[in-house]
Amino acid sequence: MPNVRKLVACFALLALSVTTALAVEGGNPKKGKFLYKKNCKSCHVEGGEGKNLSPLNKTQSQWNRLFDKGTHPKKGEVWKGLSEQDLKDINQYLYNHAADSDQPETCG
Amino acid sequence: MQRGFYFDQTRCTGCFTCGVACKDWHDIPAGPVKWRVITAIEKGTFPRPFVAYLAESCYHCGHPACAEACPVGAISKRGEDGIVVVDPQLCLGRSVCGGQCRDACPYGAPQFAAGEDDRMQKCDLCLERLGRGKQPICVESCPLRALDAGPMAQLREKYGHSQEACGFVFAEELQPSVVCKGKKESK
Amino acid sequence: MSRLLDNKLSRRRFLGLSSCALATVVVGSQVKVLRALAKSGEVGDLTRLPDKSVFTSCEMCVNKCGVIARVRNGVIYKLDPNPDYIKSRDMLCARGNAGIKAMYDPDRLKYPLIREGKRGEGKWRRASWEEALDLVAKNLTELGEKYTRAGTMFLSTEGFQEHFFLMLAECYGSPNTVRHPTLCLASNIQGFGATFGTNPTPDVLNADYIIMSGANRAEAFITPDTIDLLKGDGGRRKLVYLDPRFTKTSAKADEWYPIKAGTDMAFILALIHVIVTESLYDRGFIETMTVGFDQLAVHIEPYTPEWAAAECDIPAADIRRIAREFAAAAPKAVYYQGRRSSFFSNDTQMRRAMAILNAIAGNWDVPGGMIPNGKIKLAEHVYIAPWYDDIPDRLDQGSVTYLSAKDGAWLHFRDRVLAAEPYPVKGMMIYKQNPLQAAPNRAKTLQMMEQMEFICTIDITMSDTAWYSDVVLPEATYLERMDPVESLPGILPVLSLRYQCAEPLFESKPNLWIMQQIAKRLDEEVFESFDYTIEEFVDHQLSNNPAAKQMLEEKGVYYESPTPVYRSSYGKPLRTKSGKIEIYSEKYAENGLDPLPVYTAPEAPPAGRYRLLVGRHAYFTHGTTQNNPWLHDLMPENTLWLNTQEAKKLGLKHGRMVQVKSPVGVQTLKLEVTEKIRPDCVYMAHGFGVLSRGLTNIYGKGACDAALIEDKACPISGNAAMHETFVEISPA
Repeated sequence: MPNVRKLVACFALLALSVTTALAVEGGNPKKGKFLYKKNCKSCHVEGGEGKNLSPLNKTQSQWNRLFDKGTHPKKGEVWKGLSEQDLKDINQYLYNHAADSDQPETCG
Repeated sequence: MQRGFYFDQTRCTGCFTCGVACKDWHDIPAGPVKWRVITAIEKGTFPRPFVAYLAESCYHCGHPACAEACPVGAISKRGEDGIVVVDPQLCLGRSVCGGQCRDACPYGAPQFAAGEDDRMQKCDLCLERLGRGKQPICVESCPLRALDAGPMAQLREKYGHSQEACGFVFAEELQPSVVCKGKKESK
Repeated sequence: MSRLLDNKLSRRRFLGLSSCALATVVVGSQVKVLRALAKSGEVGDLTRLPDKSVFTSCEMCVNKCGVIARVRNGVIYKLDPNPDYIKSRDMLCARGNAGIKAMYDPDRLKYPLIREGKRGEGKWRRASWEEALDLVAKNLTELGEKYTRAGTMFLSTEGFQEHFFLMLAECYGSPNTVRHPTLCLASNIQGFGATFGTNPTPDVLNADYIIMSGANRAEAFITPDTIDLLKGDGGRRKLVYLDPRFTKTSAKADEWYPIKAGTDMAFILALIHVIVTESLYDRGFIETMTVGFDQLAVHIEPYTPEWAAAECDIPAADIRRIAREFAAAAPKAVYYQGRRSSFFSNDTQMRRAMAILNAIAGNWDVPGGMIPNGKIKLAEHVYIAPWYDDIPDRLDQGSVTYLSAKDGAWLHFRDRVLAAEPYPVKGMMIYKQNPLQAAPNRAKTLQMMEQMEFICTIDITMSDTAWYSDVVLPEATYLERMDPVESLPGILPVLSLRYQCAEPLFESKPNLWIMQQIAKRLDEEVFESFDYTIEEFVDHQLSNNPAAKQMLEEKGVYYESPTPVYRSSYGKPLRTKSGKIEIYSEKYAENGLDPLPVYTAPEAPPAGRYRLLVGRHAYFTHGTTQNNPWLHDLMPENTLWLNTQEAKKLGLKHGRMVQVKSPVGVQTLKLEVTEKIRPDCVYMAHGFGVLSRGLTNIYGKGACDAALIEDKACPISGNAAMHETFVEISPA
């Protein structure tokens, strides 16, 4: 699995990572997208074990409520392998792209 | 049975599709030779300009002036459908005869390519398509359905007898085979 | 002899009816037909009949109209409209018909090219794919090490194979994808999105009353709207059209008003004023479906028709009458918002005003109204891009209020590249986009490109942008490749695809192949996401929908309903915070933006200067089809439109060359004196004045609007404001 590829910390650049809407303190939406695809999309696809999911399936507050509970609603054990930070990141990504998010539609 | 065109000026947007489709179907290279000509008729002054579009080709006249003008009788009118055709075996080419058919035609239908082969060419109502029961390519391609073609009697029955459209002059003595729905200049 | 020429010859050969000498083939073929007909009244040898008909969809513009390619002996000889393709109403336009010339174009890119001389000098070396791809991968790797992978920007625009390009950007690790919407409809999406939660589509065919501004639909084609707009005489539909220029849409409109540029919002607010003060709105709809009407009623009090008349140059009586007619026709009445549109820096708020007017007419999701776009589902392509820890946020993060993570904000992005703030961007990968023609202030784009260490362009012709690149990779045209299935949203949602109609000419390759080759050279793990054939990709897309697969194979299109589906959004929350139509935008208020559109008058042209307008023609798609031989025939060069009275004042005659000077550039072109434009504006067609000598038909002809337009933008959406530039005109 292509994971953490470059551990060379580039602090000056990291400091610039300002995101507008924050679901939870310290969530990194870009990391969240990666973790979401890697961990959630293995089941949450059409024909998969879980229901097909996209950030648009829920509103921002619905996503926050889901993550506030701290455990996966259907299969409690599946979040065990994820750190608290991982979950924050995923939550942030889903929040930022939720049905009622500020992320505009696009063309093409 | 004379065949001809119907042109609805209220629908034509001057989009040039018929012209390009015609060039494509008849394999006419880019350049000034055009079997279909689209022009904009502009009148009036700001803030009340008036613009109408006119999409024209050979009107396959009842009395084709081009045929009469041709010094060698290369242009003829087919008996069965009145389509005016040119026999390139007979046509002398513009450089030889000076393009007398073009000079005679008030609609500028006869066309000549530049260069060695400058024999007359023009709209043949897509004879080859007609033979397969298909409409001319201009009619078939018009996105706004502003064109139709067929036996004149049928066209008149369907669309009436009007021969008036902005920018079009019905040459009485030639009897061009067309019915029109012209754009009104009321505005 | 090159393959292209061979193919051109053979295309002609079978277009003719015999193997007669080439010089006389056009006339010759006619003779044969005539002969055959004369004898028997029937056509003889049906040599024009295809041996293969292939479904595809047009890529001469962005509408993707349905096409059936007629192929004989491996050569395409005719493109016909697909009658089953409901979106395009069984038609192809001039561009669609000229599609063959895009493929059999002597000017098309044939081989990978590597720059030899200085950038823009035009000295190229033909390279093997191997060498060119190695060079691209080497540069991407080195740039990544030097500047992080955010140091390369990926520019692209919509298209069936864009997905793979965006994937490459993501898998490579750059957040900096810079797409076309902020040079297009970002403000439109934003304004309507803030109101309805989405950017809906007007139901043109069923509307009885359409007001259109900023959308020249008879020339800027959108299917099916362009076709549906005309009902002909006797139709009930009325089209009221506002434009400072008399376009072909004006010629088809029931009423045309030469509105003062940039005052559309005043006109719309006045319409709302009349409808609200005269209680002509749909009260029941407003109560159940919207929030913020009460604030609106107070807000629009000062915006009377009399006030608007002075702003817009449209008589108050007409404004009042139009408002009443519009309300009487409601809900089958729409204020048509257009698409590719970015005119003033207040554009988002102007779109908000349009959306609000539609909302109070109660036309939401009913016949003849504004319909939320349907979209047919495809199986999702799930891939996992590698994670890189050191990649910063987008370069343009925070530059505008609502930034699209996928699209970016073009002009803001360029400014930050030039300032190297907050970090340097030194690499450019470009697919299908042509910023040197598309983005305002060409000089700045050139500056941005000058400071790049590496530029690679993938295109089908030598665009200006390709001309200034280091590596140019030839893509196969749409007729030469199979493409992914595309789900086209809209009022008539369809699935569309392209089967390959002919073999790619020369060494051109489909973009998927190009992306695979680059990915392979970057990293095995990057390549994992690209490891499939296009057929496998399409199979996956359709894996959950066998009916779609079958219909696509049989009809070249898939749809669930041949007519619009209405009211599907009723009973469900909309994608807004309140779940309702937001007349008053709480969200905007929270972000310090006007929660209801507040009018600000546009700056008036200073004495002796004119407002430069942009616009479209039915035969050109942005800066891409001007060089196509048949389309070039229709407009060989652009001209500067100037009102007759103004030309008289300046003593400038029709047809002479003039110099046009703006604060950011100077261009020279022919003058067209016309009655079809307001005296305070001038206009030129887009896409001329090219830098690339690889576009042989149009090089040296006309002027480039992008070289003149200043780079101003809407601060909410980031959309470029194309109509805020004033120019001086003098004899050249």
